[in-house]
Amino acid sequence: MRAVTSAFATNLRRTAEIALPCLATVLVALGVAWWFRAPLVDKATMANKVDRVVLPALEKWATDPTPAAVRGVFFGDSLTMSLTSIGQGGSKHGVPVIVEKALRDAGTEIDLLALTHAAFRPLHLAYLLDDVLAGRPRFVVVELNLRLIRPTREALSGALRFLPLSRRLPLRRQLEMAPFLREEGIGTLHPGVYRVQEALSLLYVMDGIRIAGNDWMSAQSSRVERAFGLARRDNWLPSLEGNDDRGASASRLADGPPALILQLLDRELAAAGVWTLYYVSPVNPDALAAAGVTDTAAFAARVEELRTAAGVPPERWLDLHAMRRRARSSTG
Amino acid sequence: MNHLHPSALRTVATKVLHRLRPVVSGRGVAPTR
Repeated sequence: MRAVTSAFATNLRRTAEIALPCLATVLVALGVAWWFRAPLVDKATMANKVDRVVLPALEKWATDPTPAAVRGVFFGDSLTMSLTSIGQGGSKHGVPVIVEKALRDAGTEIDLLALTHAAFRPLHLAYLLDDVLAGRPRFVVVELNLRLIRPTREALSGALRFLPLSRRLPLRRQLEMAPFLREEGIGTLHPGVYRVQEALSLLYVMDGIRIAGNDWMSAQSSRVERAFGLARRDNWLPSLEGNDDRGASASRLADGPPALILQLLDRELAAAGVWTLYYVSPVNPDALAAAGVTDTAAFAARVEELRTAAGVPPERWLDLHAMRRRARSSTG
Repeated sequence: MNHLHPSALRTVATKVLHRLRPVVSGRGVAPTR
């Protein structure tokens, strides 16, 4: 008995000798990351308009309603925005601002939230739906960009997938959306881990470490390259023109995640008593033709199939994809 | 990134407004809020 106890104690000691330094290393790393969390998060979210602008605006709108005003939400991507206004350094303006102004001019007290980002897709509204419903809107307008509604994996970079936004998904909706989330690169654990990271103020800290490390390596590489007289292009920027018209227009939208996500959104919004309008943004016919889409009637039929599959009645659906026939309709 | 021409933005807004006005005024639909 004594021999067994002694062997157990020896094994325990040996395990502790290995495990404790490992645990201590992890704790020190986490401690250092936590200590420097503010500059690291700043570095990682410097260009993150979703966390810096969109989410604070959503939270403010949800918790601070304008008294006696009709509340609404306008969800969409860059096709809702004014390039002219953005080009002049102003805000994104566009359709929500025109709609809000017209309603105000007609004497309606309106409290409209423009929940827009250049790369938002209906999936992202599903992430934020609880936050939207917390603001008790009377109506929601959802813009659909056919070029981005079902992007290929190559078409969107990781940053434009907004993976950390999945932390806003409640477990019930996460389970319901599991097949589409996997297609997006979100596994079962992602939303929960992002929630824990946020609770510990560590969300984006790992991204900050990666970016800081990459910046350091880039700076050192530049020094070495300069020392050896090697040419270097530091002004390279990744193009955001990654939309895949061929992929988007060739796919049967009704069979895939877009229809099911719209169906889920519409069901939950209707259950909460929210009137929801979906509109398909105009598509540049030249871009479609360049992608090999010449049968416009078949394309229109695919859009109609999407509406039917999503279960949205015609009176709450506006198909404007063929609104303009010439290239001036869209610069995309 | 895609953008619409300003005139297309206005046309879209007009069409959206046409559907939205009855909801905002509480006519034609039965909003619960």
